[in-house]
Amino acid sequence: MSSFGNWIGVCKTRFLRVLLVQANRREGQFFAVCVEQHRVSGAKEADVLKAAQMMAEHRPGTFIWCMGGTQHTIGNNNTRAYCIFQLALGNMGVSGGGTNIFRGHDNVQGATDLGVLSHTLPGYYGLSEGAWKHWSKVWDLDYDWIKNRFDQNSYEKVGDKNVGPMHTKGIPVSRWIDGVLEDKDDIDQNDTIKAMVLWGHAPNSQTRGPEMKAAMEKLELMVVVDPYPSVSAVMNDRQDGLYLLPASTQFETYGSLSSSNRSMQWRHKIIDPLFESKPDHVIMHKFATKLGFADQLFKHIKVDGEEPLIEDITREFNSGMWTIGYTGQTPERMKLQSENLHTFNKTTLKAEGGPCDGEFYGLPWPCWGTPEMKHPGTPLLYDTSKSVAEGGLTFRARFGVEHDGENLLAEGSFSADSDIEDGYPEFTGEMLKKLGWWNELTAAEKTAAEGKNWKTDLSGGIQRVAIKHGCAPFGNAKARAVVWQFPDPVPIHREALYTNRRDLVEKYPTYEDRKSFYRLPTRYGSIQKQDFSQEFPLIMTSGRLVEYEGGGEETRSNPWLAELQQDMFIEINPGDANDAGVKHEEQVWVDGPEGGSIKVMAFVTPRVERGVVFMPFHFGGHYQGKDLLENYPEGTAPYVRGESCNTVFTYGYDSVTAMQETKVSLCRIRAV
Amino acid sequence: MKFSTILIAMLFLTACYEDTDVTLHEAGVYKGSVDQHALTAHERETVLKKRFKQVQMDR
Amino acid sequence: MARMKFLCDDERCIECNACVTACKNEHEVPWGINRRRVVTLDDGVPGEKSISVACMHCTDAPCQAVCPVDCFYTTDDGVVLHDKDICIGCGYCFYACPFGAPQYPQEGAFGARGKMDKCTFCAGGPEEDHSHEELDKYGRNRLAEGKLPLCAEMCSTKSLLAGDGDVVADLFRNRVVRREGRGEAWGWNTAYQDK
Repeated sequence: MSSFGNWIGVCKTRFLRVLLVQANRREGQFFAVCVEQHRVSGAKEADVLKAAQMMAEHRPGTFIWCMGGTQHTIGNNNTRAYCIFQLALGNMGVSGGGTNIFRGHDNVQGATDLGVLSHTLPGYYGLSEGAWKHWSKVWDLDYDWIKNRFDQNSYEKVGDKNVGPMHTKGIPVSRWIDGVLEDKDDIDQNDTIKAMVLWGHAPNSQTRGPEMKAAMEKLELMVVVDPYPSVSAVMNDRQDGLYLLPASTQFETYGSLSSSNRSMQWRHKIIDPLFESKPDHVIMHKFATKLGFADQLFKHIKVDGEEPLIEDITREFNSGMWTIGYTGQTPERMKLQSENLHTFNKTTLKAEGGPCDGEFYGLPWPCWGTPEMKHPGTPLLYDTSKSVAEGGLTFRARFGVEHDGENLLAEGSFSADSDIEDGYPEFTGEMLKKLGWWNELTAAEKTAAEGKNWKTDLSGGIQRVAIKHGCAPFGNAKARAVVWQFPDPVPIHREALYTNRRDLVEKYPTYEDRKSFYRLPTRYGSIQKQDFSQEFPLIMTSGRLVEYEGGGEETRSNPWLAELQQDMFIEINPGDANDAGVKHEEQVWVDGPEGGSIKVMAFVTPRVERGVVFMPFHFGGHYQGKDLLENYPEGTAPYVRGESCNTVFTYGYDSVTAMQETKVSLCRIRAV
Repeated sequence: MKFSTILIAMLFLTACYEDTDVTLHEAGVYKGSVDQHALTAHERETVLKKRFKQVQMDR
Repeated sequence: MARMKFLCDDERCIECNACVTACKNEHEVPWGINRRRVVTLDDGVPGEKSISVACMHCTDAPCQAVCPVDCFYTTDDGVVLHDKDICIGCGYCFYACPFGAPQYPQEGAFGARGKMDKCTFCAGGPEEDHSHEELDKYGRNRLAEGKLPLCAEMCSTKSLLAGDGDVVADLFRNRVVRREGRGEAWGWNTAYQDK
C-alpha cells in the first residue's frame, strides 16, 4: 500500500484518461482519480468506476488493447497509461496479469523484431555506429563497405554533431506519401522518394487516399509483391512503370514466425508455389542478384538454385539478436517443438517430459544465450518469482543507472536465486571482472567478450555467466512511469487533430508543428486550430470486421467470407440518419475534411451513438464512386469490392511512433 | 416404296420408347438409395464419444 | 443408441461466423446456399444475442413427414438425411421446417428450384462412404471418419456443440451450474445499466 503512495508521488499524476482506483481495505477508502474523463471521452462515470473497481478487486487481471489505443496522435500516451495502470495494481510479471497487445497478423511481432521498421536494425539495436558495427560483424561484412552504400552527406544534427542518413530514422510506412509529395528541400535526405516496393502491403489500410493516389502517380517506379494484385494495382492511373510480382502465400513456403506473445513456431510448406508465384525469400534473392549485392546478402546462407535456405537465415539472426534473446530459438529447437506439440501442458505451456521437457511452447523471447544453453524461453515479462534460467526475469536497466539524482536500479527486488540481491546495471565484460566472475568464461568466450557487453559479445559468454549467477543480462532496474525523453513525460490527454470538441481543444491542445520528424515536416497544431466541425459534424472512426483481414483483397477473394459481408458500409445512428435524410441500406456519400468522398451503403443502427459513425477499413476496389473492376488483371478481382474508408481519413500521426490517427476524425453524410 | 415407308415409320416410332426405370412412390416408404456405413451405429457411438471429449470439452 | 444433436450456447456465441465458414469450406457449398447461419437478435442494442442455426435433426422431423416423395430417412444415430436423386425440389420441406434448414440452389432458366440441400451433420448421404459421388452431392462425411461436425469442432468459444445428445446435455448442464445460470459476460448488465 505504501509503495503505491510513493509511486503516486513520483508519477505526479496529471493524467485524465484512465481511472485509478485503489481499494485500501484497511482504511475502507476508495480513491477515485478522474471525473474529468466523462467530459472528455463520454464514457459514463459509473461504468468507469465499476471497471476500475473490478480490476482492483480481482487480481491478477490482464489489460488488452490493439489499435484502439495506438491509432491516435497520443497513442504512445495511451499505451503508457495502460502499463502504468497495471504497474499500480501490481499486475505486472504475474501469471494472469500483464499487458497483452494483439498484433494484427501472425508475424507482425516477428517483422518488428527483425527490424522491418525505419528506425532500427534487427533486434532493436538502433542505428548508431555501434549497432551497424555489431551487425557488420554478425554478417561478416566490411563495415566500410556497408557505410559507403549510404549517402555520405548530412541533413540532420544530433546535438551539434552532423549525422548522416545511415544513422537517422527513416521515413516510416505511414508517411511514405509525404516522402514523395513534399518539397525536396524540406526532407532530411537528398531527394524525394522515387521508387516504392509495396511488399505484402495494403495501401487502403493507410490514410489520405487521394494524396496516396497522387503519390503513386508521381513515382518513377512502383513494384507490388503480393499473392493478390492488391489495391495498389488499381487505385492509381499509372500507365507505365508499375510491376506486379506474384508472391506465394504462407502455405507455399516455410520458416518461423513470432506471434503477439513473443513465441515462435516453425511453419511447414504444404504445397508447391502455384502458377508462377515465388516465395518472398526467393524474390529477395532475385532482387539482390539483379542489384549486385547477393554475394554479401547471402554470404553465409546456402542458396539452392534461387532459393536461400531459411534455416541458415534463422541461424544468422540467432547469432546476432542478443538484445531480445532471439538467439536460442534455432530451427532444430523450433522444429522439435512442432513435432512434439502434444507434450506441452495446455495451461502452463510447459513441456512435461518428452524431448522438449521443461521448455515453454514457442521458446518465447528472450530465450537467452547460445542454443547449447537450452534456455526454456520467458513466458511472462517480468516474473521475478522464477530464476532467469527458468524463464523468470527482472526489469531491464535500459534508461541508465540514475536520473536527476534518483537511483533507477531496483531496490530490494530481484529474481529468484539471484546472486546479486539488489538492482544491477547491464552486464559488460568489465562488470564480470569486477564481480570476480570473469574466469568462469572459457578462453574462446573471453576473447569475444573482452571490451564487449551482453548485446555485443558474440560468444554469448557474458549472458551465460550472468544467468548462471541468477542475474538477467540486461540488468535489474525499476520500471518507470515518467518517460523523460518523450514529448509528454507523464501520459496526458490531447485532443485529436480533427475534433468537434472545441472546448477540449482549448484545454487539451495538441502538439506544435514539427519541422523534422522521421525526416519529414509534420503538422499538429496548424491543423487542430482550424474548426472543421461546422461542415463536418460527425465523429468518424474505423476498425475491423471479423470476416475480413487488413486491406481485404485476399479475404474478399475468398467466396465463403465474401458472401458474409457483401457491401462496404457506414454505421449511422438512426437520429443522424434521419437528420441527413438517409435510410437503412441506401447509398450515401461520406465526405472527409481533406477533400475525399466515398459512396457507401448506410447501415442504420443504434450500435453507434448519436454523433459518431463507424466504417470498416477492409474494402477496396472502388474509388470515389467508381468501381475499378476493369483495372484488375483478368480474373484477379475480388468477389466483393467497395470504397476504402481511408479515402476520407485524414492527417494525424502519433508523436513518438508516427502511427496514423485512424480512430478519430470528422466527416459528413449526404444522401445520394 | 412400301418397304421405305415402313422403315421411316419405324424410325419415327423409336421416339415412343419409354424408360420403365421410374421410381413409383408409395406413401410413407423411402425408395432412395441405401446409406452404406463402414462402422455400425454402436461402433460410431464409441468413436464419436471419444472424439467429443478430445475436441469439444471445456478445458 | 446415441442420438446426434446440436446445441448452441447463446451465452457464448460471439457471431464470429467460424461455423458458417467451416461448413462452407468443408462441403464447398455454393454461393446462396446457407446450410448454417448465425442469427443475431437485437443487433447493436443491449441484450444482443447470437445463435448458430442449422438443421436440428429432429427426432420426428416435419420435413420427413411432409415430403411428397418420401426422400428423407433417419440414420441409426438420429441424423436426418435425404436422397437428392429422389427429391423433386418442390419446397414443401421448407414450409414445414421451423428452422428454415432446407436450401435450394437457384438454377434453370425459369428459376426452377433444384434439389434441396441442407446440413447433413457432416454425415454425407445415401452414397457409398467417401465416394466421389457422396462428396459431390452431399459434401464430406466426417462421421464415417470418426469425427464430429466441423462447425462445432471449429467453434471459437465452444458455444456450438455437436455430438451424442446425452454427452452434449451433460456438458451444458455442468456449464450452467458452474456459471450459476447467469450470463458469462460480466459487464453486460452493468455496462448497459440493466441492474
